[in-house]
Amino acid sequence: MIAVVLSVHASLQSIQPLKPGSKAVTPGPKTLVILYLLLASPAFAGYRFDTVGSYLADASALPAWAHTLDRHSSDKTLLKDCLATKETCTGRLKGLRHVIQKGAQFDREDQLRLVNRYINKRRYRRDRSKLSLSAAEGGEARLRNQWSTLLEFLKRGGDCEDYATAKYFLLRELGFPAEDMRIVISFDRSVRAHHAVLAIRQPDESSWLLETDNRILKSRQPGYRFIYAINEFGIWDHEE
Amino acid sequence: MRKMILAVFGLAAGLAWAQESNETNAGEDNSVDLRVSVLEVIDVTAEKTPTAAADESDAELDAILDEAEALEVDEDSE
Repeated sequence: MIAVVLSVHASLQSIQPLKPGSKAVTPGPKTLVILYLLLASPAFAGYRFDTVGSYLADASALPAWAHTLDRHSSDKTLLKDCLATKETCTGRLKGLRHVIQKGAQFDREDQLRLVNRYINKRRYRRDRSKLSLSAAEGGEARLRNQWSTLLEFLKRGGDCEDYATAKYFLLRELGFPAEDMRIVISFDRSVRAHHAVLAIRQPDESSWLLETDNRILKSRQPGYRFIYAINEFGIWDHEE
Repeated sequence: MRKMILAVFGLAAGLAWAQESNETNAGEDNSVDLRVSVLEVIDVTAEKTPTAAADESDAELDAILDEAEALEVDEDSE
């Protein structure tokens, strides 16, 4: 953060006045402090894995997500057979096998870029399923998110949370630990809609976000208001 | 007699405390369930399509992605 502030401050100092002969305005220490406060504000802060008190519940508390984890366990048998024997691969598994085998030879950052771009090539398709509520809960039917497994997503495509879960499951195959990844649901101010991205924990507890437009957001992640996050172990609530 | 009164008082206090603990746990469980029910109906559907400018071009990655796509096209046409 300090490096970013100093870099922006240095850029401001190098700005030349528009009119020759007019006095250049040199930014002082006040500008430095304002810049620091601005960049450290929540609007610019990145997703943190170590937010105190954010753990809400076990992953099983979110039924749709727990069901997806169960289905993915079944899919893993198919994937395991395919990785072991090329002839057993059918459909999209052929391409997936190729990506996993090639990706295994890459360093961590290139693995992230490969997975991000491979998954982002898939078709966007909205998928909301009806959640019937009991009489005690008001009795009306509401819509809830449906989470796809990796193989379901490769066959049918999906919407933003499916892109994030597919990246999560694929990176697990490449050896990324579950505790270093979370599917993060946020409100994205740039598109004024709720959005899902995959967060990858870095050694300093900051995160990188894998976006659906192929960007990997590193030190600064402006425009997101983080709401909750999930992985195969738990649910984290990021709203007060 | 005094010992008996103290024992009864102690027992009653213990029971009351245990009941209160259970109520607290049940309250916490309910608040988690309630919060999860709010989270699971958030409509998460932002669409941000990939752009070439978003990630720098990499010949090796591009080649792998093209090969993977070709393998899938072969399968689809069979």
